[in-house]
Amino acid sequence: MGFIRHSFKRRLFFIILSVTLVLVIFGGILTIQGFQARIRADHEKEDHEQEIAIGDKVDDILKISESVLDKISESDALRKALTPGPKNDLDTYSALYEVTADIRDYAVVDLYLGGNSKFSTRRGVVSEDLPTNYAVLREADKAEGETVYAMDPYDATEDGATMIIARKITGVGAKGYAVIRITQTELRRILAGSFNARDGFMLTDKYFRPFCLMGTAESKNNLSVIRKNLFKNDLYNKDIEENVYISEVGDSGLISIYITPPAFEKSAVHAGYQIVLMQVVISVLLCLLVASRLSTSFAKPINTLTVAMKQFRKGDFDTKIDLNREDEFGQLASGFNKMTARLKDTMRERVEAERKVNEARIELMQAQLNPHFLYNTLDTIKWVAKANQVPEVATLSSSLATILRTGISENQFCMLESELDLVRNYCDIQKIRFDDCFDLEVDVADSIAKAYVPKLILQPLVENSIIHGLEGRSDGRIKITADRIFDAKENGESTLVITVTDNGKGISDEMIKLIETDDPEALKGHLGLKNVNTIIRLYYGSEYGVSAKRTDTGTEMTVRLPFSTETPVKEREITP
Amino acid sequence: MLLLSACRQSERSALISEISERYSVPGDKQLIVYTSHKEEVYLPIIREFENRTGIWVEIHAGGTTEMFKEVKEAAGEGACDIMFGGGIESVEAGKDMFMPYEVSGIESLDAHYLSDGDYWTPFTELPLVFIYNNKLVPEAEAPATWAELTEDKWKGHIAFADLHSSGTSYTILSTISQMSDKTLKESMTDFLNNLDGRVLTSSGQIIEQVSDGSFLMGITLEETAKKAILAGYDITMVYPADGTSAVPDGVAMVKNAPHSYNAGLFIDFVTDYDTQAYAMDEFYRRPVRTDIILPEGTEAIDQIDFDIEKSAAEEEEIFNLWDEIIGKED
Repeated sequence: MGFIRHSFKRRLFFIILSVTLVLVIFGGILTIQGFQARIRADHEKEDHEQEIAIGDKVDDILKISESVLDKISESDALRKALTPGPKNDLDTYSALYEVTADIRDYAVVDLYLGGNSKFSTRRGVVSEDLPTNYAVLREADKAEGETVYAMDPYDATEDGATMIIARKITGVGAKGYAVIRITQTELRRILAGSFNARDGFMLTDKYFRPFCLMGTAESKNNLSVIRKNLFKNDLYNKDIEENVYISEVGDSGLISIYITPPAFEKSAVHAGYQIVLMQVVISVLLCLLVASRLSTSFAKPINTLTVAMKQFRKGDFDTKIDLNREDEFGQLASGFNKMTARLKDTMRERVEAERKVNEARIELMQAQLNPHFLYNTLDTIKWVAKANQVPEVATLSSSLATILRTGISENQFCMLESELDLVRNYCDIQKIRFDDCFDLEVDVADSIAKAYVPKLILQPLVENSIIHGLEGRSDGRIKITADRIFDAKENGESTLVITVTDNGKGISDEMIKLIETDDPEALKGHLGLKNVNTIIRLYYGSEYGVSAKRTDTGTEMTVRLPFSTETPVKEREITP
Repeated sequence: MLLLSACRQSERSALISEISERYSVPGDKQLIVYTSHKEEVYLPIIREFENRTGIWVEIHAGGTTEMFKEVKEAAGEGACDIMFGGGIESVEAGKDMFMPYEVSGIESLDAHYLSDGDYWTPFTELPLVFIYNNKLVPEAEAPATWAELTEDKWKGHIAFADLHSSGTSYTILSTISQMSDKTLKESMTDFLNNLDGRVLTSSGQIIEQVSDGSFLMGITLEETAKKAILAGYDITMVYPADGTSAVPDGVAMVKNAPHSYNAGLFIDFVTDYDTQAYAMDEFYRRPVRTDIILPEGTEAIDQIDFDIEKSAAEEEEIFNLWDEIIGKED
């Protein structure tokens, strides 16, 4: 089976062959058998008619004989002839000839007294004596007036016999018998016209011993076979090629056997099967051809497709298949072509995107050059200012340098205390800039100051207070506090709340609304504030962020974010 | 159409089975008979047996030697009931093929020819007679005694059938041997040499060849000679003056007979009055029954005391002598 399964062509061949062979063989055999059955049935019908015809003829002979015997038994003249005493031969013969008129054409009629023929219709020699205690006369004697059909003991062989139809004439005082003899020759002459030259006919007694064998039955082979079959209790026609019709002739106990040649010569049937065999051979060849053609027709596009796929796998995105077919394979090819085109586009887009990312990286690297230079410059300025006794310049440059360093640092998180340092540095600069018009107060416990927060989230709030809240005031005050609030759920999580309050003019309602709407577009011009909110929400989710409210003394801005003493891992780093 | 044909087909099959069944012969109505008799002898008897008993008889007919050979084979397979025919010395010689059966009415049979162990039953007595050609042999010259058969005057003129195909030939040789005072070898040599190598292929040719002048005389069975004379052959039948044998042919039940009961019926039938009378009247055979009166013209014969067992015992030697002197055919 593996041999077949491993090849598409063989598989195809096997399937087609199976179907074809089933059709050819079963169809062929069925046709031959059906044809045979039909012809045979027709034949049998004809045979049966023939058999009936010849049977009727035999029956006629027996009936006529019977009626002749009846007439003899009833004829006074003939009864007298068999009775002891004086008799008139003339009367006897005229009566005998009269009653036997119907049968004399083919039979000899005798009147026997004991075993001797006394009166006979025979021309010439007298009829033979018959034994009285053996054969026909004994039977007739036992039958007491009934007709008996027997074989002439002097003319009987295994090939046939003269038929004797005899009856004891009862009530005549002596053993008188009426005896009709029909020789084989006469029987044949009468029956000759009633059957076909190709057929055979046998008339036998109840032990299947023949009176006459005619036509093809003359060889008596079939008779011996029939007898043998009956002995073995087989069907009587076993081992006989010809059709054999057996029927009883009236109630005489005789049997007529009609034999016809088989409806089909064996050679005809053989020829039929030979044709089927030839069909089988042709089918096998045709199946081979068709399977080979079909498999090529299937295999070719599949091969083309396989080659194209290999090419594609190797990176040739321009691979195209041209099958020039309109069937499923054509559709498959066009699908393949579409797929490669699409993949090619996608690849190009990705390459483009990658190129852009690379460009950005290069730009970033280039951009990092400047802050370092600036930082170093500011440091130099600080030392130059110190050397020249200009403390403000030293403070400005030192603070700016610190802010810049934090700004360009690659860390995105820092401890709250560094963030507070940055705010102090920022305020140092702004104090110089705004003539020392405000104070910064930081009230954060050390434990809380160790919490990690995104860098640069406080500076924008403080900047907002200085620029928008304390505008025009000389006693400005900014206070930064931080608290750790534990969650009610008691799951160990806590929230860091950083509050920046000022005593400025108070934040406008419009501004509060804008912060709450979380609309980046709306906070245009308040870029720092917007960024803080965005950063916190991006990192921690929308439940955290910046909120603002106006107090009696100014503005209070609150930043809420999860309390953590470790650097949070950015989501983007988890799934690069 | 096919169905219709099939239907008709099965109707026909049914008819065939019905007839086969009606005429099939049950085992207790069967009998298998091997016979070496001529058709005109066995057929009327067997037909009468069938008619009287309703037993179907399967007949195998052929020459004596052939039939004995076949019976031997058939006995081994249990395929034969009766061997009908063959001189009783031949039957005696092959008696291990047969099984004993005491015929009913044995008391009416000629005690002269009865088997010692009932291995066979005699059917009819068949006296050996001489025949001669009336045209070529004057009455005065006619063969008269067994003794003169070795004379030169008959050298090459005696019609005699091949021993290998004729049971009668064996009976003749046995008779010659038993009538002679000489040893078996001498008597055989004398007679066989006098045949001068002229041997017929079958005993059926003897009448023909004597009447057409090919041979002057012949030795045959009384029934054969009588029938030939009645049929018009110009020959004369002579009973040997020094006596003759009338070795009967036998009927025997074969070992392993599958239908032994019917076989017994058959043996009873062939020895019953009717059949014996019929055989006498129609076949000119002498009945083995003592209660049948011989018809007029059938003279009582001077029978020698034929020793069947001796005859059977000499079988091998006689055949050897034959092959030696005449030469084996084939």
